[in-house]
Amino acid sequence: METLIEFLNSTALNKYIMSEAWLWPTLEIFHFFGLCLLLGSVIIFDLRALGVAREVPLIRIETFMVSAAVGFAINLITGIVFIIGDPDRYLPNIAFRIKMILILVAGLNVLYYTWRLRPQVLRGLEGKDLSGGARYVAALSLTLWTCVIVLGRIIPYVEK
Amino acid sequence: METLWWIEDSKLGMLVSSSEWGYPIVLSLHALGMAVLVGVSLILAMRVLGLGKAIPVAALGPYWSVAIGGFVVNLFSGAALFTGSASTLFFNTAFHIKLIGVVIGLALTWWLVKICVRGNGEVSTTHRGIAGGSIVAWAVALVAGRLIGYFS
Repeated sequence: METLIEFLNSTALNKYIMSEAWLWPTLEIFHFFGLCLLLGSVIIFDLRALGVAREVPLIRIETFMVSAAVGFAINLITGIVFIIGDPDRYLPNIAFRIKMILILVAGLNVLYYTWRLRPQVLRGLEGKDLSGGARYVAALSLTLWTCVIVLGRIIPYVEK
Repeated sequence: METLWWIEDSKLGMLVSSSEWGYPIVLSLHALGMAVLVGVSLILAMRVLGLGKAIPVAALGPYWSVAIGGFVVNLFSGAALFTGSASTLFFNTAFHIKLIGVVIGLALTWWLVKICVRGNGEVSTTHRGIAGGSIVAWAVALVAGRLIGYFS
C-alpha cells in the first residue's frame, strides 16, 4: 500500500492533477453527474423489477443498463484520476475501502443478473415467471448503490 | 445579518455545523436525494429526447413520484445544511445560481411530466425543447452546487 501510494505520488499525472486548480472541481462535477445518471438508471431498472411501473416492457429495460454503464464509466474514469491525484487521501480511507468492496459486490450482482436473469428477460418473461430471485437482485442493487453514494460522500469525514 | 446569525446559533444550525456526525449525515442525505431527483429527471428527459423509444413515455409516469421523494429529502436536508452556514451561504453566488437552477429544473421537469409523460403518449418538438431545457437547468444546478465550497 505504502509503495503504491509512493509510486502514484511520483507520477507525472499526479503532479499535473494537483497543479491545475480548475481540474479537481471539474472532475468532481463529472463524478456527480455520472452518479446521477447511474443511480437514475438503476432506480428505473430495479424498481421496475420490484413491481413499480409495470407498463414498462421488461424486455426493453436494457436501455437503462446502457445509461447506467455510461454513468459508471464516467465515474470509473474520474474516480481513477482522483486516486492518482491524491492517493494518500483515498487508498487508506476506511469509507473509500468499503465503497470499493461494495462496488465489486454490485458488479458481481450485475454478472449474476447477466448470467441467470437476462436470458429469461430477453425471452419475454415477466414478474412471477422469472426464476432466480429477480426481486432480491434488484433490492440488493438499490441498497448497494445507495451505500456507495453515502460512503463516497463521507470519505473526508472519516479521515484519521 | 442578525437573522442569519440567529439561524446558525439555533439548535439545528449548531447540530449541523458543530456536532461530529451532523454535517456528514445531512450531506449524505443531500447527495442521495440529488441522485434520485436529478437522476430520474434526466432519464425522463432523455426518454423524451429519444433514448429507449421502444418504451412508451407514459409508462415512465410512476417514476415522477420517486423523483419528488428525492426532492422532499433535499428540501429538508438542504434547509438543514443552510442553517449550518446561513451567514456565508446567503451571500454565496454559486449557491444563488444553484437555487435558480433547481427551481427551473424542477419546474420544467414537472411541466414535461404534466403535458408529455402524462399526456397522450405523443412526443412533440415542444416536449423535446422542455426536456432539453430541463437537462441544462439540472446541469447548471449541479455545477453551481458543487462549486459552492470553492466560492467561500
